[in-house]
This record gives sequence, C-alpha cells and structure tokens, in this order.
Amino acid sequence: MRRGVLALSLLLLTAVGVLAPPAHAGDAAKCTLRHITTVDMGISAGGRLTVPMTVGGQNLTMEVDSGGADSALNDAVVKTLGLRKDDISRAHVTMFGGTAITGMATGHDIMFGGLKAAKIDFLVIPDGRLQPGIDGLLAPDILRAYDDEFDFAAAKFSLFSPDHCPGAVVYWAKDFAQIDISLDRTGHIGIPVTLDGKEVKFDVDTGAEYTTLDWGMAQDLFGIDEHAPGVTRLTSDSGQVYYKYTFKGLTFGNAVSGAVTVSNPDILLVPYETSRMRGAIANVIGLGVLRKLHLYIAYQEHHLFVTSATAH
Amino acid sequence: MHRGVLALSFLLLAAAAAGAAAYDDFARGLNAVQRGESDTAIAAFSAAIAAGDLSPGLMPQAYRDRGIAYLQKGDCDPALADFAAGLKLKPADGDITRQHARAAACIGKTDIALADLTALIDAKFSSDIYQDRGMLRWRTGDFPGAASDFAAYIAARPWDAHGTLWLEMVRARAGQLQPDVAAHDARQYDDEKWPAPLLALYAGKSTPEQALAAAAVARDAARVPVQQCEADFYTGEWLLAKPDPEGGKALIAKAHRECPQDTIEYEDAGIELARLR
Repeated sequence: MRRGVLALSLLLLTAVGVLAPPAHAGDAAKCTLRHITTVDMGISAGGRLTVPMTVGGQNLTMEVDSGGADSALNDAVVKTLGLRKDDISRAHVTMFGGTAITGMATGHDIMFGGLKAAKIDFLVIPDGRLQPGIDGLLAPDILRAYDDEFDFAAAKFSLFSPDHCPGAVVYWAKDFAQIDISLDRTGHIGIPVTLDGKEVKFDVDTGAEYTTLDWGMAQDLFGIDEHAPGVTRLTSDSGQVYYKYTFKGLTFGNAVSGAVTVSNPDILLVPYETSRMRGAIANVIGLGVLRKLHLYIAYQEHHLFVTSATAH
Repeated sequence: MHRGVLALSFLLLAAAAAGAAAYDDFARGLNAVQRGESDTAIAAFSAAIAAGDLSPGLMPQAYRDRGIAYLQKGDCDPALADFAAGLKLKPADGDITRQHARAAACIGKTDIALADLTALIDAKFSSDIYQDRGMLRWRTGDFPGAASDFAAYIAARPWDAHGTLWLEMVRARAGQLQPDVAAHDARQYDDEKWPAPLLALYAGKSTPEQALAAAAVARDAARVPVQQCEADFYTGEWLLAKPDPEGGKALIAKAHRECPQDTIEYEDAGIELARLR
C-alpha cells in the first residue's frame, strides 16, 4: 500500500535479549545493542517476504512491507477471527493499484516472536489483493517503532531497540555501508544510491519484488530509449507497458561511509502511463536486489546499514 | 563474478561466510525463476541444495523453487519430487502443497492434486485455490464441480473478469448457463476492455462471429495474438456447450495450434482436443 492513515501501534515488550556490542562501540555499556526478538523469514512462491505472527490464537503469515503504511489483515482472516470491522471509508485509504480500503479491525492477543501485544488496529484488505497464502501486511506503523534487521542468508528477521549509540549496530560484520535515509510521514525509506555512476533516489520496499525506475528519469539521466541496446519491452496481462534493462551496478553508500555494490541489477523502467507516478516516487528497490544484502534499518537514527548478504 | 552477483567495492571486502556460496546460488536461483530462466534456476538451486550449508530455513524454499523451475520447463516428475522433498522439510506448507498439486495434475495424478487442493481449501489458504480446483475439475469433466468452485472464487474476487469468464464457461458446459445471470455478472466490467466481447457472448448479447472479430482489435498490437487465442478457446467452448461439436472442435484445434504456449488456453485446448477424440 502506498497511502493510508497512520495508526502507530505500540507493542508491549515482554522479551528483551542482549547482543554483544559492535566493534565500533566506544562505551560498551552505553552502546549495548538490545535484541528484542527474531523470527524465521520465508519467501512465498510469489517472491514475497513473510514472517509468522499470531493473532487471536491463529497462526498467520504476514508480508513484511516497508513500502506500505499501515499493517493490515485480509478480510477473510478478519472474518475467521470474528473481528468487528469498523467503517473507515471516509478516510479515503487506497492501496497501490487503486483498491479502496474501507475497513479497520482490532486484533487481540498478538504474538510476534517474543513480543506480545494486547491489541493492534489493522486495516482490512479485500480478499484476493495479497498473494495466495499471505494473511496480512506488517508495515511501517509497526516496523518503525524498532530497528529492523533483514538477514536474508540466515532467513531471519529481527527487531532491536532503537536506543543505542549512533552507528553502533552492525554486529555481524566489520565493514559495512552506512546510508542516510529520509522518512516520509508514512515511514517510507528514501535513500540515495549510485546507479551506473549517477546518484538517484529510491525507496527501499521489501513489499516489492522488482526494482523499478521512472522511465522519464531513465531517459533523462541515462539516455535510455525504447530502441537502446539491452532494453526489453514488456506488456502485462492488463496491457501495461514496462521496459527492462540491466544496469552495470547499484551502489549503496560511498567510499567515505563504506559502499556495497550489487552488480548487474535488472531494473524495470516504468512509464508514467503505467505507474501514474512521476519522478523518484516511482523508484523502488525491491527484493530482487535487497535479498543480496544484509540490511539493518535504524528508523529513529535515520540510517540504513548494508553489507553483502553473506558478509561476516 | 561467477557465483555471486554481489561485488563489494572500494575499501570494503567482507570475509566470505560459511554458506556464502550456497546463499549466492540460492539468491541467483530466486532471481532466475522469477525471470522464467528455468535452466539457470535449476542449476543454481541444485548447487545451493548440494552445498550442504544453506540455511535450514531456506531449504524448503530451494526445493520448492527448483520444482517451480522444472514445472516451467514442463518437467513434471522431478518437480513433483522436489515439492515432496520440500513438504517433508516443511509439512503442510501452503505454497508447496499448491505446487505439489500442479505437478501431480501435470503427470495425470488427478486424485493427488484434488486432495492437495481440497486440503488447502479446508485450511482456508487462499481463495485462489478455488480457481485451481475449478480448472482441474473442468479438465476431469466435472463441470458442475468446476462451476461450484468458480462461483466461490468469484465471490472472493469479483473484479476478476477472466475468472468470471471461466465461471460462465463451466456453467455452460454443466448446462447451468443463464444468459441473464451472465449479463448481470458482466455488468461490473469495462465494456471497452478485453475480455468484454467474450463475456457478451456468454451473456447472449453477441454472436460467435462478433466475439471472434472483436479479438482482432487492441490498443496494443502485441495483445492481439493473445486475444485471438482466448477468443478461439472460449468461443470454442461456448459452441461445444450449444452443442455444436464440429464448430467447437475447429476453434479449439485452432487455439491449440495458434495460442502462445505459455497460456492456459494453449494447454487446456490440448486437453479438450484429447477429450473430443
């Protein structure tokens, strides 16, 4: 989802572990990184990133969607749980693609790894809008209350306390890239990256499979047109047009702050007529690139930390 | 790089972890299977599985996605074996069970496929499964069962115009088609967009000739072959239900001859032709 009302849900912490501080930490006691919980991370057959969550005693499969706004449940799940659905049609909440969200429901007895919450408000998504087997979305309303770690190679998703020394988070590797992030009001993560030598702003979206770049920017910045070598024209079943192009490299960070490059990323170039978005708002780094990395998002510190997926 | 796509640049060079190559192969496989590059995906997942140090949490997915790559190639026996291996590691996983059903159906083990899909429906995995089972029931000639499944599917996904087309088609084959109901069902879709001409046929508002002619018109010329394929198949099924077996068989044969081979209609036209022999 791209737009929505913001309803920050507060989880009650009941299990807090402690990890060893990173090597850079000057004051070990002050800079201790507090681990909150870790859950198994799956990849659905459609390529979506999933984690388990229990609501009202029912085991659910939630998609981790950093490009969303508010966490949500499928209508079918809401019915199964017997939750009351409140009408929020006047809030004009809309999913990516234009589907209206008209309901909200309060889930009870939520468990996420070692975390427990008495209740959380969820938007209610009409059935069939999420991929099969996905019961709901875990979005920035919850994600940004913590630091989030995506360890793709170990298939683990972890939450940490944001209360730590600045920059003192990468416990798994000595070298890393540190990138300033901008957050919009819904918690979308904007970062500058270097794509084939040009700086371009992208959103980090774990709810997207593909990395996308605005077609106009591709033309203006890289001189790519429909007939350029390596450009493939694609048409979706609904007739929407995209172009695919393999760039040489997408670099996170720089020589000063540390840098990590993903080589030869396939990027979909999306015309305005398809995305209905102009400029950098259409630029998204999706899982095709992200799964090659180990990510730590420090929302409150406004930094993204990156290593290769398998760095030690 | 040969094995991985990640290159650390400038001053940074992280030490390779145990399992690094296995994960690189796994990630390469994921990207390849998403792109439909099945041979690359099979090789990558095979290397990841054989390495022995892929994270245990990723092993079921490695088997599942190698199975999907085999299915993309039409190699259904190894696909079924991979899905079975994935289910052994992660019993009752919905994604893997769904793929297991597809592979079983592909090699004619319809009972296994139906049992898989029924289990998923009972577990409320996804309303999509009604569509899977409806199509499988159509293939087995259980037209009333298929109609029941597509009705359940459309109740959950009323915006799916092609799903509604299948609903009316299987109703026609089951002798349950009511043009006024089909007209009501079709009202929510854009008259100007495909597959409106085919929905109009089942709603009794156009003729087969009109439906076939409409398929030649598309804003994007690249869509015309797909539309003509669909027009041949769904009009052929409509004629079979009339019944006009000769007219229907001719169009179904044309669909099997001319449909792009990655379409449902190509595959199902082949099944229908076998049934008509």
